[in-house]
Amino acid sequence: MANQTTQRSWFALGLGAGVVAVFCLTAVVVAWALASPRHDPVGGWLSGIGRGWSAVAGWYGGDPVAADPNWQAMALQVQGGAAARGQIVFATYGCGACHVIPGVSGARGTVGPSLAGFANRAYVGGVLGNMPGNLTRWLINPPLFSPDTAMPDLGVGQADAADMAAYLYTLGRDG
Amino acid sequence: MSDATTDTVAQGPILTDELPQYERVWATPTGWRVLSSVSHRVVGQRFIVTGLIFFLIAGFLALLVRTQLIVPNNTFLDAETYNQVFTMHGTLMMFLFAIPILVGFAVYLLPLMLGARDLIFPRLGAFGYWCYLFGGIIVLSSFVFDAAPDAGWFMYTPLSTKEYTPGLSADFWLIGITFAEIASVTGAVEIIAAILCTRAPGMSLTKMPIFGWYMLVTAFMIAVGFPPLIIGSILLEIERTLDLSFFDPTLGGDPLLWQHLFWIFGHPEVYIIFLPAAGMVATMLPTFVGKPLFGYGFAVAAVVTMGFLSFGLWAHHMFTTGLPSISLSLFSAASTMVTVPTGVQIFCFIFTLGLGRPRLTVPMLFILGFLFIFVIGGLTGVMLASVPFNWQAHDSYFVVAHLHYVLIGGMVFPLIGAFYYWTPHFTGRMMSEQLGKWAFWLMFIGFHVTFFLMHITGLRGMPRRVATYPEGLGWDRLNMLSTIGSYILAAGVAVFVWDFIRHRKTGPLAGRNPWGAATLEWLYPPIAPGHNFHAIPRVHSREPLWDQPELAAGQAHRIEGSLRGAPHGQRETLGCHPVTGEPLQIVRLPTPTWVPMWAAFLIAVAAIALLASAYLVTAGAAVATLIAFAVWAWEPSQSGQTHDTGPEGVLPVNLAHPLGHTHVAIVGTLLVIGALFASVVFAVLYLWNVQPDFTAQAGLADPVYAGAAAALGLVLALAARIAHRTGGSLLLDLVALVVAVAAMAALFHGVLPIDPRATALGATLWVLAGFVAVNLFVLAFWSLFLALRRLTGHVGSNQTVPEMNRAIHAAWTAAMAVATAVILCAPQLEIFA
Amino acid sequence: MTPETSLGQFDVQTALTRAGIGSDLTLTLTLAMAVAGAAIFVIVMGLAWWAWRHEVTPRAWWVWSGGVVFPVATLAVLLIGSTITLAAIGRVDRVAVVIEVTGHQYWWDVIYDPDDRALRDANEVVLPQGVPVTFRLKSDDVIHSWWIPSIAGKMDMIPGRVNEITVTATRTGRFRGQCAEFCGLSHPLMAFEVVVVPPQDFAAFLDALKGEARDADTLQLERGRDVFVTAGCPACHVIRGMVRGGRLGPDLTRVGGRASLGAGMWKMNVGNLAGWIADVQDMKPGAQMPSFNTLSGPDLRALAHYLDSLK
Repeated sequence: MANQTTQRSWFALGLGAGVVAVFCLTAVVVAWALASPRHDPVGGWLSGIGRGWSAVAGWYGGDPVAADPNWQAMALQVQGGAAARGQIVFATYGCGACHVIPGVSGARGTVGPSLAGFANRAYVGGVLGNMPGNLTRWLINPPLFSPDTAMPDLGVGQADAADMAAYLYTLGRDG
Repeated sequence: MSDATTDTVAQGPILTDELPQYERVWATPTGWRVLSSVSHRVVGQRFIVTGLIFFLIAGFLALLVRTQLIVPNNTFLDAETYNQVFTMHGTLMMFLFAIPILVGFAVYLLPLMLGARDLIFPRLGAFGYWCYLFGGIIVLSSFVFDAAPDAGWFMYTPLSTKEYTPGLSADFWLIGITFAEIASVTGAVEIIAAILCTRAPGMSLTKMPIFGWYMLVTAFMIAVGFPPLIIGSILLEIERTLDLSFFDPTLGGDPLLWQHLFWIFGHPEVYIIFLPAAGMVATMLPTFVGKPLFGYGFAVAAVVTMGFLSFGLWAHHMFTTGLPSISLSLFSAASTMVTVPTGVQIFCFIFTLGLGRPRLTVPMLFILGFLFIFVIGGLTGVMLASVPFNWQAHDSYFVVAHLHYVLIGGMVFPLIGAFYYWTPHFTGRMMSEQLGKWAFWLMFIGFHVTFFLMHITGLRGMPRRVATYPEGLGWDRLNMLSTIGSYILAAGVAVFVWDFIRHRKTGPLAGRNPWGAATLEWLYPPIAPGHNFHAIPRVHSREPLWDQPELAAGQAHRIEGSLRGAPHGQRETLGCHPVTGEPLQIVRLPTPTWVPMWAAFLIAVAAIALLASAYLVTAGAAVATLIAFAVWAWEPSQSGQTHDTGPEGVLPVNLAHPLGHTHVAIVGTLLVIGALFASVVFAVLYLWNVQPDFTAQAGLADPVYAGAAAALGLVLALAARIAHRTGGSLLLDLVALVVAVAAMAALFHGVLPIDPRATALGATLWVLAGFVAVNLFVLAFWSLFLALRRLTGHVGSNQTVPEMNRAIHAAWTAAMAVATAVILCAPQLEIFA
Repeated sequence: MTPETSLGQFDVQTALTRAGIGSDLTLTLTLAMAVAGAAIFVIVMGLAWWAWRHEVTPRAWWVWSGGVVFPVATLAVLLIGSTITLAAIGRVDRVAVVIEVTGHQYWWDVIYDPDDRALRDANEVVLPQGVPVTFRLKSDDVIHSWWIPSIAGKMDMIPGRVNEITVTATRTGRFRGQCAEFCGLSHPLMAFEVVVVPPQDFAAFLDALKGEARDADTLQLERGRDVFVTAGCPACHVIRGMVRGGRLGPDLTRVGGRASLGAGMWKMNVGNLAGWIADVQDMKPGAQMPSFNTLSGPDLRALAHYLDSLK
């Protein structure tokens, strides 16, 4: 008899907790949906956890100098370029109006070639070898290197060019 | 069958070969011949299954829409495909799923609930189904031709005119949907006649099951509400193919004319969708409470009020078009007031719950879901009735949220509940309670996740019908969640469909009246194919199975009643007085026949030929259709006989009487014709009013010929009336034929001076005259048909049912001819200066 | 200097804000109705819950009071509130500025002061803060709808008639509007920018609009201007002071000074301009402008730079 009552109490408690949990979850999800895209507490929190985890994992496992380094990937490192920033910078200059750029929202243009797999290309703009320095200089002033090109001088500065170049080198080879 | 026990109360005597004879007469054909069946059970199930298939197709299209909108700037569907997909989603759901499936339930259930052996015009019902199926296939086939309609399910002009939508997509919509609408309109006339004229003895209107009232009002609404859309579609199709202009402002037309015609249909349409579903709720809910519905009188009054009121709200879809303030106020007030009859019904349902201890079965779960969702939808509807709020929320996702709350909550949830409730009647097996609960919760949760957030999405500025949206405006996450919700909702529907399919093999057998319901459809144990009422019992109560123990006890085919068996080897049922339910006549019913299918098929050929611009084929198919109709009606008349029905005495067969079923049907048909006529008159008066500069340029009709047409119309009506009163006459039939043709010619000459290409008003006047001419043509054809029947001896004197009906149609046509003549000559009469 | 576009900005295209008299009053009404609606919903569901749990004998007066009296009373309050709100929104106690907007597939033709100075611009509209503005709304082809949710409700643009709506913006800043009536293939790509400035800045803006286009002052810009003429652009576009043009397309006199391109859909910059000219049909399918993919590379660049310079 007492057992039954205890069982029922636990059940009621569990059900109540479940309802409260669902309610809270719904509230959190709705709040997230309504929040401004700049405020991403959930995202920030998640990436914080991710960074902490990588730090711990790196302390235990990783060796900075790997046995078999990827020299080609290293050759495509852009000095002072942040690929994450570059991904956003494209919109400022209107690159997507002429190029398909994977991962850049709204970049669907077919006026110029698609930039998918850019890291695999041998040449930039058909005139310069595909290397970080060449790509950065090209982005700053295309007509200088290819006088008949349709790609305008967009007024790109050194920093923006480096960031965009860094992003372009994530397309292809490994990622 | 051979043991005749007479020890229980109220068991009728059984003739030894009565049962096999009855079942032979009423047998449903087997194999592929079942396609020729016109029995209401078969036709009803056809509507239901076809409707369900269209529902699943349209639901799949909705998933495509939501998948495209899951992230901003998505490229899953390009804009052209997206526009086709959302247009077809709306079109299929509103025209090819919602109304046909409810008509299907009505066709199946009404005779059973009312105590009739079949629906009153079985061939008409079958014909309606084939029109629906062929029309739906035509619309769906547009995808195959890459010509799916893409201008939105309400096809606003000028976007849907030839200039902005070249190609065939709009024509597929206009022709296909108008064709499918024939089913709704014929269904409406049939339902009116069936409810009024074929109830069991003693079932007065106040003793009729509440579902009968809901369907009666719905049928009247269909009869009056569909014609404006039919006229609008015809006008737009004429504009597209013949280059006339009703909606082109440069020629005196007005894009808003389309909107008015569409929404005068469109608003009643959503109540036409809601009411049958509410009627099903009103039927199922008392079963699970075990007590009769509380407030039957309130509910009836509310439903009738709603039927009328819903025709006065349409302009709330047009608050942002620049209507004058007085219109805004009137329509806003009326739109809020429709809450009253709706609320009365909801309260009747809620108070019925309180009458007893309700059982939480799967249908009951869906009814509770309906209450929850529909009330929210109604409240957001009231918000939308407020003009300043409407100016922000119109054409935004707030409206998308509202419409799905009222349609899914108010129709789909009751419908799924109805499936769980009545499927045992269709198949003899119960569906699964377990799977039903899963289906409910998945649908309920998925629905809210999808659509609740859309209220906010809309108020955050997202307009409707956008293939994509920019990122960062604050719509991204809301849309993603809505899409996830739509997949959950789809999963719920999938569980329901799976249950529906697999229950035929594994569902538990349903005994007699498995839910303990009160209405007559559960009199017999669920068997397929079924037969209704070996003898038609007298009914004293709204809940016959609860209040009349003689019905529930013993075997159903032994119940005492009239018209036992099929003593003359014919299918027949009782016809009753529309109000009191007292028996009036015996109605003979047709046996399986292929003619309705052929007639619908020929119309389909005409429609397809119209789409392909093969006008000769169209004309040929139209002529063939007329011949098919003649073949349909050719059978010898059976009126004039009388037979003994048993307990209800001797009754005449196929009585020619104003309260008889054909007369009621013709009055219903005249309601439709009157509404069509009124819609064209509305168009004329609207253009006259809104574009006065063009009125003067329209040209003047010839008053002599117009007057002659009116006069000839009156002569025709007189001839038809005399023919009816004197028992039919070959001479009068021929006179009527000649006069009708002469009237058509006079009308044509009357309108000839007006150039239809010069102004929209002129074109509309031609349509007005053309409409009357069509009615005159019908009368001419009818008179020719009657003359031929008389000549070949297929009809004797005093078998005057067709003459009675023709007389009324002729009178109405004469009235329309006179009205048309007045309108045509009005500018010259200088009365309306 | 090209201004920062409102494209992609949070909270610039929402009715849940109070940047105009219309949106302000309507939001109050909305919140009141939402609260009342929620309360009624809770009551009705509570009633259903109570009915489920208890066995009662309902009375007729319950239906009368709950189904008739209570709704009529509440709805009367709602109607009065709506009428008051509508009247307050429409109350204009000063002479309004008139701006005529004609909707096309898929851009907006804007004319400030149409009865007097008739200053033409396109796709971006500047409003004076605190001053009532009467939009005169027309359409050249199909039905469009003019909606700036942050400031006011919408009004349709219907061919063959002129609709008017008077709005008063109360907060400065950049907002976004969008066409709210399905108008064809690129309906989702038909938006516009709204810039609300202090009244004196508005007067200055109108004065600047009177003038002619900025001169081409470098070799490349001159080349771009020449390409504009030789490519046939004046057939549809006007650049005041430079060349006579047609009115089939937007006025380009100040195109570079607008924050966005293609009716509010892309940032105004040289790259987007070049892509637009070269392949507008890919960016905005169904637009009335053909893709000019026959220009040489240098010509295209020059033209894009020239248009970007017209600030």
